[in-house]
Amino acid sequence: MKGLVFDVQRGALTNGPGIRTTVFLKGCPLNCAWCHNPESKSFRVQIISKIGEGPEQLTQRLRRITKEKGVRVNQNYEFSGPEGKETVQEAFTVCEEEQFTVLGKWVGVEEIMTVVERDQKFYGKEGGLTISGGEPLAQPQFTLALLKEAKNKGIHTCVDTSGYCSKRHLKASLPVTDLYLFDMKLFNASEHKKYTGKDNHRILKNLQFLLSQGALVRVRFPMVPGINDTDDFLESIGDFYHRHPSVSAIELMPYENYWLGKYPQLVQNNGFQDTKSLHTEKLGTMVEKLKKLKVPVIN
Amino acid sequence: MNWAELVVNPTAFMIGLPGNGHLDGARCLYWKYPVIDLFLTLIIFFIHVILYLSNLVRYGFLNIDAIVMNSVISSLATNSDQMDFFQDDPTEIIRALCNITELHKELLEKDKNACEAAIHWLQTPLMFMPWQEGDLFVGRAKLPPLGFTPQVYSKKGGFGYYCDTEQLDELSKGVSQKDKHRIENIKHYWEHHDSNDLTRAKYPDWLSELLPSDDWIGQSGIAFPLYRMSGAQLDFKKLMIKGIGGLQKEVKEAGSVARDDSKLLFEAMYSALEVLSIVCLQYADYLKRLPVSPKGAAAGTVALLIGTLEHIASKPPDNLHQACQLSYLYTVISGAQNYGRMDLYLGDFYMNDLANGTLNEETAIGYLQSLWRLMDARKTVYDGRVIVGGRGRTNEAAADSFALIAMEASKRERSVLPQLTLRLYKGMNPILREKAMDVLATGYVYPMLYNDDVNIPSVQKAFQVPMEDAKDYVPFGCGEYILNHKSFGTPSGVINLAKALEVTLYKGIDLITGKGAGVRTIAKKPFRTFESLLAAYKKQVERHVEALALQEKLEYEYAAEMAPFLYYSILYDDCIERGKPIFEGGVRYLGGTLEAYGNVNAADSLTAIKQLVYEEEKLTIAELLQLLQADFDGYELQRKWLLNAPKYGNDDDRADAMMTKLHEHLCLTTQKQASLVGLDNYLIVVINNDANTDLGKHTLATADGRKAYESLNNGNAAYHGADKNGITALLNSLLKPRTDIHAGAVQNIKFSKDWFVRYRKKLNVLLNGYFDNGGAQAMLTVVDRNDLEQAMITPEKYTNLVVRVGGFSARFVELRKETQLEILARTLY
Ligand code: SF4
Repeated sequence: MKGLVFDVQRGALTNGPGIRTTVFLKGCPLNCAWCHNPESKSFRVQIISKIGEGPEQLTQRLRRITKEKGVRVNQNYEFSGPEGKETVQEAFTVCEEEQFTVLGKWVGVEEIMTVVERDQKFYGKEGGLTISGGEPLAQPQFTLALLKEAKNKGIHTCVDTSGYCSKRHLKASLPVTDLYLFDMKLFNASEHKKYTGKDNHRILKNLQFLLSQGALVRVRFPMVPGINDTDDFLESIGDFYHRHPSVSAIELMPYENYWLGKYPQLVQNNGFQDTKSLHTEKLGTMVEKLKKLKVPVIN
Repeated sequence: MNWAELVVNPTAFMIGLPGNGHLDGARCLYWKYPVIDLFLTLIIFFIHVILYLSNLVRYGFLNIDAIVMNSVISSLATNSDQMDFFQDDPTEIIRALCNITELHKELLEKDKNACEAAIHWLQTPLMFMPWQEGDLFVGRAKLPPLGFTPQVYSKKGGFGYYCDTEQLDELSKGVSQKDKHRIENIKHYWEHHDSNDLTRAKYPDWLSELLPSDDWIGQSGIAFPLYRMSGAQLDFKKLMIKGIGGLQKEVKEAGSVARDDSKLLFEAMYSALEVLSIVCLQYADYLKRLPVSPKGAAAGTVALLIGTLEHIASKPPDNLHQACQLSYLYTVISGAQNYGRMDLYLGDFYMNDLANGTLNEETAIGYLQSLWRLMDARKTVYDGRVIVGGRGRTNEAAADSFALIAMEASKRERSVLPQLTLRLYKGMNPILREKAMDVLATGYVYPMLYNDDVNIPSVQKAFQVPMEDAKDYVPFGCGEYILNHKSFGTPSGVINLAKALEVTLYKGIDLITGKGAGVRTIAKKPFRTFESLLAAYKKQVERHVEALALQEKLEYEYAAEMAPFLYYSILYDDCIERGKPIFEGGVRYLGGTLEAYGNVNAADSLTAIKQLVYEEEKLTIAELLQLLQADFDGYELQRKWLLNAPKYGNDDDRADAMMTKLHEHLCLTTQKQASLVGLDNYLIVVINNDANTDLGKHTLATADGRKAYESLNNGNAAYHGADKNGITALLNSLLKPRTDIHAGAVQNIKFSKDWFVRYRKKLNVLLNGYFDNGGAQAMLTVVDRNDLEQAMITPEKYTNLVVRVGGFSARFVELRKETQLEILARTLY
């Protein structure tokens, strides 16, 4: 069983309790304007030129190198290999990758588990494996297989989900997930649709479902300047929490604009280029405010 | 009569002669000029008489012990108050230096015990500096331009009798023509007594060939000798229990029943202790006669110091202040650079003082801060260790309390020295570790953490000693282990493994010098397989390790011939019992250490070569050599291939296995030499100071992608910035090389402040994971990269920013630029 992974972060501090190994899966059904991982959105392997080539030039060059006509890079920098060669690794045996960055790699459950087991000694009582993305449940088979393997080895598991996934898969994940990091962006459905491409109906329903099943859920809110960094929004978080007291904790995730430097080719002109990162001090005040509202914030 | 006029007899006892009150430096050079001063004639005559008498004693014709002993004591009693301490008149200093020179010439051949004892008498007044207002202790000191010390603290090194020509040149500025001439003559004499040259004179030809140069900073080469008797860890506990008087009694008694040849040694020891006692009294005397009488708090300090100094001049210390003062003065006069397990020998005093109500915690911290300032002023940046914590401390509760105030003193003082070191173990008082983390969280570089649960069994195996001895391991210097006052293991060689690989690849030619070096490869087209290359590299390393092992042994032999190293021999186990000087059969375990550099560069290079040349065949050996020689100029793509090859520090088995295998080869090769050259142990240390920068300057581009002349890797850490896989991956890599076959390896890990402040609990879990799974050591630093960058731009604003370089720490702004950049290049977690 293989999954398309764009990063494995070892010794991660911020994706759940303790020290964690976080596996980032590629592909997300949402399209948030502020998304900090532009490389996480597409469900396919992408190739970015390091010398500024656009998709056409890149295609030309790849064809030259590989002498394969079937090679193609589309407008979204998504790669399609020649017949029978699904992955970039298969397409290129030699090290010509120096001139471009390959985003995404098909990785087996076992390969990931080797890393996780090596890191197990650093997990302590709290740490473990976190599957994030993208949307991990958009690659349900792989995610479930990985969670199952981890649980078999006695490793604590977290799923970092956008909540936009099928209820069936969510249900299947219940027995193998210790904690859900459930991301909520906005409460207003039309705003949600405006900034993420989808309304929040399904997300809210899925949250209800998890809570009704007694799952441990930590709800995380990205705090994005100009979008939801307002007192009003904090109050709605308060309301939300008091309506869902079985939510284990609330976490605020300050918006960081470092993603801009990552892969400019992948960033659509979404009006977010000029948005500054959220100030640490401001985050502090927000946390204080939530505490006053008797919300268990864990920042 | 002044101090310099004390006469020395060859049994090492000093007898004041009714001299004419002056000793002209010009006349002291009588070996050049036939005119001999009456005074010197008397000295020399006296020496000959005593030598004759002592020979009679030796052969049982006469017993003069009592006579000699009595005359010494009485001469000291009459003269000690007139001794010429704190002298700053250059002519007087030059005169004293002439006298040292003279006595050395006269005594060295006749009796080395007497010679060393005599030189201590003459050099000590030049060494100590006056009390400074604000200091709670005395003992600020500097090495005089010539004399005796176990380790000359310069890059050139040296041990025993030394002559610092730079200081002499400085001294000769502005003095009379006559004095200048005297200085020239002194220099001329000492040129022939350079410890480095005389050690080298013992080399067989093959050794000289493999170690052609001593200048490891300025010249290219694979291996270099280091000359020093460094890393002594003295038995301060014994000093605390016995005091100077008690030790004198011990050596006197030992002398009275000793064999005749040991008698001279014990007499010399007695004399050396007397010198220390006089230092105490001289300081007390000085404080009583301060030109301006102190007021307020200073008056209290002076009174305290006078009481302390008069007490410890003969008696064992009664309280913490006295104990600190005595141990510090002993360390300085002995020339030792490290302060041992301080909580073990000071903890009880601290607890007693607290219980008596004569001291409170704040005052005690103040004492230590003052002591720390004195240590810092010694500038022994590669040493200066204070060890606290760990198994095997007799009164653990007292020691723990002391350890806590030691850490607090460091936190407040934030000095480069001492290098505070905390030994950790399962079941220890958790407050100690919490305190350590608190201190580190402030961005300070100490304490360094050592894990007893790994190190004790490792030391036991590596040193092949009983568990009880292993429990008392102490890291000194940049991280070499030694058994507290039971073993000696001066690092007497460096090997640059990256250079060894470079020279091997070029078939035994050092391209920088253009000359042959090390083991040559004769085959026309060598290295057809990776195995053949690896074998050639290993052979290169083995040959140099053999050379350095013999060098270590020869250095000890020369040290033993030269002097008894009295202060070390007094406080090292077994020397007194055996009646032998430390390096002549006195010390229980005479061992050695070899400093290895470029280990990671060599391993990563071989990993890259294996993959790219032999497995993927993307490069031939010839092409590889060409591009390395070109320093990758025009080969950017190939450099990327090399850089992309697996690197140690990422938990990548290909790279880590290479590192582990080579580490094992190097360590076992080294360990094996001990019995071959006649040492009790001989072990690798993977430490670092800034030698990685110096040696890097003579190392061409390496196949791991490192550019020519750039610094080499640091200790056991990944090469700068090559660890890209997260902290857990790095730690997993660090856990792989064996720890039970060497005498210490250091790992620097840099953390952002968040780890220590916001995620402290997670950091503790991380460290537990590391220590519980074989982590031997960790030097953690909290770094704000922004601060470092700013410090390079406006150094004047960052004078107090202390950073860790490798095995030592330094003020960031005082480092050379290459080292600053290297620090910036290391991965920050
Ligand atoms: S849900 Fe997360 S990964 Fe998906 S688009 Fe939004 S921010 Fe990016």
